[in-house]
Amino acid sequence: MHSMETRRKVERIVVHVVLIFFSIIMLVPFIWMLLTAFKSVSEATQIDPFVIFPTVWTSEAFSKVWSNMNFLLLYKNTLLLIFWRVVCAVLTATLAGYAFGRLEFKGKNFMFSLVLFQMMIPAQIFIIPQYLMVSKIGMTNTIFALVFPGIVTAFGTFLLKTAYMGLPVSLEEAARLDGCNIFQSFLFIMSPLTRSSMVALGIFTAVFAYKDLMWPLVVNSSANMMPLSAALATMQGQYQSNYPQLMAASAIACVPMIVLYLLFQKQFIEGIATSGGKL
Amino acid sequence: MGKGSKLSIRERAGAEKQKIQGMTRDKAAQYIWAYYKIPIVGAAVLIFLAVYFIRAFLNQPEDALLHVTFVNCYDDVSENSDFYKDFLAYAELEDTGEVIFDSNVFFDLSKDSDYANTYFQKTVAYLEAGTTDALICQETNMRGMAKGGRVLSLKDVRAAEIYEKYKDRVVDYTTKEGEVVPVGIDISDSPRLKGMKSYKNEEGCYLCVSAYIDNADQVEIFLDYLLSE
Repeated sequence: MHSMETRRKVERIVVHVVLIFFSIIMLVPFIWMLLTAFKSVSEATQIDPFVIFPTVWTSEAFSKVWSNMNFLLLYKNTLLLIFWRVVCAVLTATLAGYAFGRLEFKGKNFMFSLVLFQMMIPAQIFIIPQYLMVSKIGMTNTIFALVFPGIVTAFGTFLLKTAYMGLPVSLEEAARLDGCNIFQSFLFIMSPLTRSSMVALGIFTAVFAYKDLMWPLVVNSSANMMPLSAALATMQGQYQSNYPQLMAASAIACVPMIVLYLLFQKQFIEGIATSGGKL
Repeated sequence: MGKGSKLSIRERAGAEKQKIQGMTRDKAAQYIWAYYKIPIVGAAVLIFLAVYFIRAFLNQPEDALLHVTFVNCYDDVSENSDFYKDFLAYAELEDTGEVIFDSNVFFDLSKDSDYANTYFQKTVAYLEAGTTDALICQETNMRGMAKGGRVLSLKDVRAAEIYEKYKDRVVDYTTKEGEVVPVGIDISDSPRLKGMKSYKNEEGCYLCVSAYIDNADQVEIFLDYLLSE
């Protein structure tokens, strides 16, 4: 009995040590970013891997970056991008997911295979045709241009279709008997039951919108319409060797996501558990 | 007025109106919100979108007079730079944002992996949409672009004047089929680029015209500027 307890204790310690070790590995880039932001340029670029902490702590990089870049505007653009992408993705995926999951219509399987096919193609393939579309309607350098590729989502449609398929048919039948038409049974009976999947999709969409670099870089070249990701990428060219400023800007750019995570921590974890995906 | 009743829209509207008339203002508002919040929100969203798109269409900027992409350029060519201002003065243009020098593009097509590079994708999209008129780049990138057919043959009628004027600076690209196509103008010795740190290595510096350009007049003026003292 005693030896079993000791064994469990040892097992728990080993598990904790392994978890702490991997947590540290995950945290190192973040800590390195923060520490580099407080270094001087010469100290940040010197080749000595053992100098982790700054010898002289300076917040000069933060103040320079804050005055050089309009962070309030970048935050605004990023939040608008996230908000509209989440709204559009959840709305269209819910409607399409319900149609594919619960309704019978001609060509359903063929259309759904087209949705799945879209998931198998690399995103880069769509960049040029999407840019051509946005450019031809004269909407480059707008918030609409940023949101455009996220209006519909193949992954979201698939996720919500699976969620609707998991609901009992009797619920819908009862709603129909009570006089609901298709739209009413979707809106008042079925969609509230897929709330956790919608939240998961919303969180995935928000994270992907926040870290999306390629599309914002292509479609919005104006500094006034860039989200944080694209604005940080432009810094790399202009200040190629100024790592403290780059790291300070990256640290400031992390703030909205950290705040979002702290506010919706429970939903983030539920979202990952619901969809089985990784962020 | 049960759900699924066969009344026409006009009859239903009349019945609803009668119901509301018998209520106080607060009660009527509560009733409308309780039964019609989805159409109200939907209509508000539609109105917002309509206003947004109309405003965006009305305020959309004119096409740029000249858009040049500087590949792998670490110097400042933005609207605040001397280079930009010098060119405007040379071309006798007002600073109205109609000339765009985009230096936020970094790729190296000597590496196969860079064909998937974000900036390369951006450049291709800009060329195909007719956004970019000309590219300034190193030799390997020029050849990579020529291989994809994205830069104009300078023998094309659209670039005829440029070809005639700068015949001695033309750089050819030989296709797989053995066809020799003039694709770039060597501007490595450009007096205007002398002050820049970029384009100083043995790779040289070339100007290519977009294969999707309608009119290369502004590119010609820019080229004249680059090669003038």
